Amino acid sequence: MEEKSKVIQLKNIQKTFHTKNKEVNVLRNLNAEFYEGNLYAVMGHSGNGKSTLIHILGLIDECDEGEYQIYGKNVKNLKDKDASYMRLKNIGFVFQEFNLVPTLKAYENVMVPMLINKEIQAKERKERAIELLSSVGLKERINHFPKELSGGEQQRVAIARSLANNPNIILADEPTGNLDEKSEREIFTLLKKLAEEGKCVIVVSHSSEIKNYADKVYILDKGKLEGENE
Amino acid sequence: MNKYHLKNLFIKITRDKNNIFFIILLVISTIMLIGSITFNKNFNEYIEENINKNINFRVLSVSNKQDEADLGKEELLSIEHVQDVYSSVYGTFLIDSNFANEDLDGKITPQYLPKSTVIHSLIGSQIGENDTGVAIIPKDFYPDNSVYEYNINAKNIIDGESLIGKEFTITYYTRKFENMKFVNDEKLTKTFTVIGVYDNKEFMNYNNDIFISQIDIDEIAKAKIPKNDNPDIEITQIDDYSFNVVVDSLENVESVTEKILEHNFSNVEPSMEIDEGVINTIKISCLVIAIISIAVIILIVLLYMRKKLIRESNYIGILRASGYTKTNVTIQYLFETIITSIITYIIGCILLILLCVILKNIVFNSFNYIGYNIRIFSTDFIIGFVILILTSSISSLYMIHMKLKSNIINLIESRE
Repeated sequence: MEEKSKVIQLKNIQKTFHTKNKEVNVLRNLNAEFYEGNLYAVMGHSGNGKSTLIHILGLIDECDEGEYQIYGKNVKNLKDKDASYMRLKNIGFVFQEFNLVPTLKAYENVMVPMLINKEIQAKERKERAIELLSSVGLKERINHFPKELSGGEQQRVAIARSLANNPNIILADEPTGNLDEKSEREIFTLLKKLAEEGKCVIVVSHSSEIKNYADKVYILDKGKLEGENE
Repeated sequence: MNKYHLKNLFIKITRDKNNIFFIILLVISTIMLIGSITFNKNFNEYIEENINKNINFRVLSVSNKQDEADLGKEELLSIEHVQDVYSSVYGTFLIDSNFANEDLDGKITPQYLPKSTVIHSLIGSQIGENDTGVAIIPKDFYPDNSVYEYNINAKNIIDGESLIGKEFTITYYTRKFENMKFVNDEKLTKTFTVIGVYDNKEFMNYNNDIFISQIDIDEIAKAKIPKNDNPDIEITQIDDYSFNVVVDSLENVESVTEKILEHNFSNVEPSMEIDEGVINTIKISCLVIAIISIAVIILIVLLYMRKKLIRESNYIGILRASGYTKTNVTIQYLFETIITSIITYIIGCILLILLCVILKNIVFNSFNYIGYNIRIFSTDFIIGFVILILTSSISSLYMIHMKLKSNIINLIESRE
């Protein structure tokens, strides 16, 4: 695993939420490294900061202390414009809710993130969207609206959308939380395939099924990441 | 923002059924806005062209002086700015003509054209002071009694211009007083040649009002109102009718009125008077409707955007998570609003133009004599467009700005 390129490094990450009467230290001196070509599972009890970690990794939240590097570049406290650019180039999100636009067809939903990416030619966008949908097994569903798709299919569209700008980091926050077991297995297989293609895939999940697919399983407990069986 | 992005936005807008109600409300407001601007402009033009320039608004009705031989006519003519003086009995006769057919009864009303009056819409020749047997008829000629009921059947309108050079005959009876009432006496006919046509709206005349010379109208008046030689019977004589005094311009009406009163004439009243109160009320109403329309547009856009942005919070969150900056999202929603406003504007304009055509052809044609016309001015539509785009864009920008204050996580995790 160490032979692969390091994509993400977290050093002494701390995150505290302040409520009216108390402070909750969600992440405490958290250290971790994530490499390309691997699927990482982050597990743990509800409310112990798994989603917060994903949000920080995805630059949609900031840590209070510590160092966060992507490809060796410090990305902590970036300005909104720079953080947006970093997300556009490097990060794809998959959420529990599929968050597809109901009035857009599957391929049009996949095209949305590409619309502001100047590196993808305008004429290539549709072709690329269809290609991505084919790669997630939805070649026959490209012209379907979200309501015409099953939950598993909608999540696969969301995965295709997360790949729209060809990011190297895929962050999935409970991607199978709304799906049945069969669809869950399909989604995990798909995410595993992405990791095998060289992406750094980090999945937060309650489901123990993810252990069958992950190259490394982390348990988030008391604000720290511990490798399972370590 | 490129054409593919715009295409994507257009698709998103047109497929979203939630936009229909918004577009309907915005179309109504747009019609109200542009309609009020258009109506106001047409109304101002109407006042300027049809009322301010209309001779009837500078004609004063004045009781004559029965004790003077000429009833005071020369005295009135000697007053500065008085253009002409004639009996108010002119224009009160409804007379049969040979224009009668199965659709029209042939009734016409001879009118007197005051001296020095220019007919701007005249096609053909003017009537000379000593002419007789000549007539100027309306270009949309409708010789029928029903014109007074504003009930003109367009297919029965006679093209006046086609009658230039042709003759027609009128028939009327002399009247006599017998057994305490008027009865028809001798049947008279008179032939006229059409020498010109005019637009009756210019004088607020009906479509059966024809201009003939003073000589001819006097002849008709004398025949229809018999002279009474019996002092024991009181019946209205020609001399009992008041004078119509034509003032040279609208501005001089007030001063001439004062001078006539100074000459001891009584009952001096304008034949037609502009009710400034009504005019101001109409103008203010147009302004109020325009302002209300703008306020409604702002309110509709604010409410709609609020609802839309709540509904699409997750989508905005996804856009932000995918790398859209706040500016990218703002531009996207601004363009959505502008595209929606343009669609609304186009629908509103089409409906407004249709409404104008309907009003023009059905409603105002029935009131042909008042001369009110609806014209569509491109400037009004440009003003309406600018107001619509500006108000909707500013309202939309405000709502987007407020929405983007939320962080990305809240946007993604928000529930409708």
